[in-house]
Amino acid sequence: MPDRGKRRAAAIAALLGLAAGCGRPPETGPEPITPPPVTADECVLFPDAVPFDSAIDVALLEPVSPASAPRPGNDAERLVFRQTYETLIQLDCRGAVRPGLAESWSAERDGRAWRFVLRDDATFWDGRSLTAGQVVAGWSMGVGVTSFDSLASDGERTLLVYMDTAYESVPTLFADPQNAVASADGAGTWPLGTGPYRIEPPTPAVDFSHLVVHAFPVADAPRPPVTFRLATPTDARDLLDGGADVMVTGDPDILDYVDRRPELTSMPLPWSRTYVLLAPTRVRRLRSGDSAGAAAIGPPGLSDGIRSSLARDAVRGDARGHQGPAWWEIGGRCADERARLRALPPAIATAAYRLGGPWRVVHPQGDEAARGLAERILALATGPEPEPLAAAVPRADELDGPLVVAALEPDEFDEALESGSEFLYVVALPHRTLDPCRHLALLSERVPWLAVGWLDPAATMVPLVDTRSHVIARDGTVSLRVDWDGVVRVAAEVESGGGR
Amino acid sequence: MTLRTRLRLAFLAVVIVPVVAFAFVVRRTMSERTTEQYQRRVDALVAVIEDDLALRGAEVRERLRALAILAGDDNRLRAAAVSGLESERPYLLDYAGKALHLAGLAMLQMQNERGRIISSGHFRNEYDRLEPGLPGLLTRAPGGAALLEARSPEGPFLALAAVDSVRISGVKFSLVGGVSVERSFLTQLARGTELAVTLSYPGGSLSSTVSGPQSDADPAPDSTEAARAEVVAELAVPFVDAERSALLDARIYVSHPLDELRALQSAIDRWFLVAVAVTAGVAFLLATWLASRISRPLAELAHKTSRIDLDRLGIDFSSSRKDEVGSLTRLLGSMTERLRGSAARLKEAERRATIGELARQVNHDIKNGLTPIRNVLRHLAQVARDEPDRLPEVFAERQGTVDTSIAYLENLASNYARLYPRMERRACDVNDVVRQVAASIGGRPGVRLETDLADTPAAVHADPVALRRIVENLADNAVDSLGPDGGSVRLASELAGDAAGDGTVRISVADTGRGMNADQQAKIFDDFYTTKDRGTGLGLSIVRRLVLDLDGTIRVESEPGQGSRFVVELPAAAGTSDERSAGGEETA
Repeated sequence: MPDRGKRRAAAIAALLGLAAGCGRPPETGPEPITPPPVTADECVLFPDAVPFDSAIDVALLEPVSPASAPRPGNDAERLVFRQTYETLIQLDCRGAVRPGLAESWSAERDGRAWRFVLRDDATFWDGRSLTAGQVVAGWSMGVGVTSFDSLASDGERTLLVYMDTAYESVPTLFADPQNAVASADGAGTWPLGTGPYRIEPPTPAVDFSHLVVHAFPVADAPRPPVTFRLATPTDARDLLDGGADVMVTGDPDILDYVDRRPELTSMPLPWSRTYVLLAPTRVRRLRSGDSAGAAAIGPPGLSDGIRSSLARDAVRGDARGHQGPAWWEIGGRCADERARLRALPPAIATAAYRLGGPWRVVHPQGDEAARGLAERILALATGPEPEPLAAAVPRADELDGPLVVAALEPDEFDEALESGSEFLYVVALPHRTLDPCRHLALLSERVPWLAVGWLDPAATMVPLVDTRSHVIARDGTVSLRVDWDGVVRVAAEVESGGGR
Repeated sequence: MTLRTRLRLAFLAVVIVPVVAFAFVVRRTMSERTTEQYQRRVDALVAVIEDDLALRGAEVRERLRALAILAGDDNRLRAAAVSGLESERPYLLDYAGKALHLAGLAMLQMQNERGRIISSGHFRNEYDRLEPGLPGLLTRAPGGAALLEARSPEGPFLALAAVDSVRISGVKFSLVGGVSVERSFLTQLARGTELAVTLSYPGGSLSSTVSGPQSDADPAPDSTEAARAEVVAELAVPFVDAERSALLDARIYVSHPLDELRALQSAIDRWFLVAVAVTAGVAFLLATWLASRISRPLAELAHKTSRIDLDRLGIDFSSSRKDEVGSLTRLLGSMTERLRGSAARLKEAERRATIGELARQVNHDIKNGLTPIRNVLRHLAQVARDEPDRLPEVFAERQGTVDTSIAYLENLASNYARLYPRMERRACDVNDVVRQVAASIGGRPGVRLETDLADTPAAVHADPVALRRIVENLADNAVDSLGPDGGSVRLASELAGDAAGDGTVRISVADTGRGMNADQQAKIFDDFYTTKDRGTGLGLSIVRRLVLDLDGTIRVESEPGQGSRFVVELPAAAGTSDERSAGGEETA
């Protein structure tokens, strides 16, 4: 078997591992206090890659903005920021905790406080050593909603975090990229990070449509340089033909093309998104008592057959019918947040309001999966047999106008979502989260009409399908480590087992 | 209506009527020609539109035919559609979308034998929908193509669709595809001309000139649009109502806006109106000029003619014109000359008659004067013969009679001598004469004398004695006309006449006496006619004659019991009018 065949076999084995292990939600129960030993594992893709001397070319399909750093807003930012900014701990695709900025941690006060000791070589890109005080300052400034009560520094290298509830194992929310550490003290546009890569120069090109971000390994770490290139509006396959080594995408046309290119390999990543359907009209009915009781505590009924059908045919790409429970469906968690949300006054009018025009099923522009789902829902709702959707979608034949699909610009979509002015919304949510309570609070801020009164958000959101992306790599160029959320990071040679 | 006005109107009519008639004929001719040209162009374009529609349908069918051939050769499609290979299902679902772009269509759906949509290009996720009747309806459509309302995620749209089929492993698959029919489609049919193409179909309408579909309630061309356009052709296009599985008719209305034609006609009308107005203006000015040129000599002639009088026949009617006006002027001059001769003869006859009358009167008067003398002489002779001693007594007794008769004769001679005084004309002031007369008659008992003289000297060219006799005679008559209770006599002079310099001096003598009736007024100037008990009847006759000799006129205005007013008008001496004007200007 040639080398390429061996690599492909290993990749497929890893893929199977991801599908079997990494595809499940991370354990939320007790976790070991000490990190597990670092071993070669199935979370490393393409372990036999021999990095080139030249930089690795990573193609980005979405824009990356320094204004978002270090908290990503899209897949491209997730990919870039994962290389450049760090969290206290890391969580791999198996759910195993690995050291991040903290080299060790310990519980205090019966798990209500956690002490993290920062690693000695944790430094920002400009060479300044990271201190616990800087972490405290950074989080106080930019994190916003948090799931911990307070935090304090205990000396230069020790950070003490007080939690709202007791945790038997280290809280994995500290691996959530929302809790990444960065410093805005630098002179450049990019906040300074502590990740294995630094962005050079720190001031990007003005024209983001041709963004090129050069990332260089920090200090003497055995990693190849990385160049991130934003795809122009032309076909993303041109980037692969142009020499791109890594690309993350779910586009079936690109994946089909990769299958025809022997030097390229694609591998599925863990399920990363769950698409849900939101219907203000339905929420209104639920809240008015039409379905009081069961609907208030459980998700709306939508058969697995429908979900599977949507995943199989309506979505172009790798999708499956949603497999619960989703992070917002787990009962008993985040009780305080849920109680606080329910206490909020209604943020949606009691009657539907519409500024003329047709009734719309809206989705964010550019989200092909959301578009496919919106179109299929429209086809089913206006077809001769809308019954399968009856539990989730208000009857279209009761509307006083035509029902259509509309793609909205992201800002426009968020505005419409907040106001509840459209008939139906197809929204992508993270499939998994390490900090569900915080995400629940963030979601309720984004969609204030979902969780009010006696309703639980789980009763107002109709999960449809889960989707995932694939990572495409040029054979032998790079080893990648897959995190818990399906985001890959360039693996160090010692992780991949490769070497010169 | 004056002759000038009549001339103006006639001239305007002569000019305007032909111009208006010309404008009307030209406008009608141009309108007919333009309309004919429009109609020919429209007919040609309508024919082109019909051909275009057929061509578009044929193009759709050709593209579907090509797609059907490609579909038959596509192994992955075969595996997905016939074998139901699950791994190729995404390929099947995406197939119509790619084929749609490849063929340049706006809609394309692939249906199996049961009519189930297995792949849709314009609405990818509409798969599994059943539309069993659609292929059959399209097949039956005249020309092989029909309009239908296709669904898409963004809303329905109108398409010109056709159907083709392909057999894969013995299974028939229908390909229903078409091109979008929207405003640009209709605009292309109109080919950039001024034609408007409106499509009316069950469910709405679409126009090449109105953006967006219209409501069901208004399937015909927009009423406002129709008001500005005329439907010149109506084409029937088959329309597939998929919901009712029926083949209906849609209508294409071809209309062309009349704005341009109306604008042209308006421009023509406007310019003709301008031309007529200008022509009318010029004609009016010309008519005024000509009317003035024609009527002015007539008016002057009329003015001169109005001044003709038996006592004033010296008006100049000479003319150098060689036209009818000149002839008329000369004719009037000749007539005036004859009148002058006749007047002279009449005067002569009158003089002779007067002399004859006068001779008879003198004869009579002298006889009347001589008869008592003769009788006294006969008596004296008889006494001297019969009674000589009584002669002194009788002579003394009859001397009074002789003296009376001699005085009568002397008075008579004096009066006759005054009939024809010798005229010595020179410039004299009427005011002075009036003042002298007023002074001579002033102070008489019961007479209230008033004078109202002209502010400036009123000079006439006359014999001052004659002038005084005129005024004096009139004044005496006025005083005599007063009754025993007395009254007033008013002597006045004034300057009158026209601005041309033909000035006159008007002398009026008015009294508050007994007045005269019309019959008396008609005879008052006759010789020997008197209303006095002891008048000779020659006073006013002499006055009249003197006035005429001075080229003047005299008239009387009187009512019985209301007094009389004698008015004498004499030609003003040269310079009087100038003085009057100067005086007027000073007054002003």
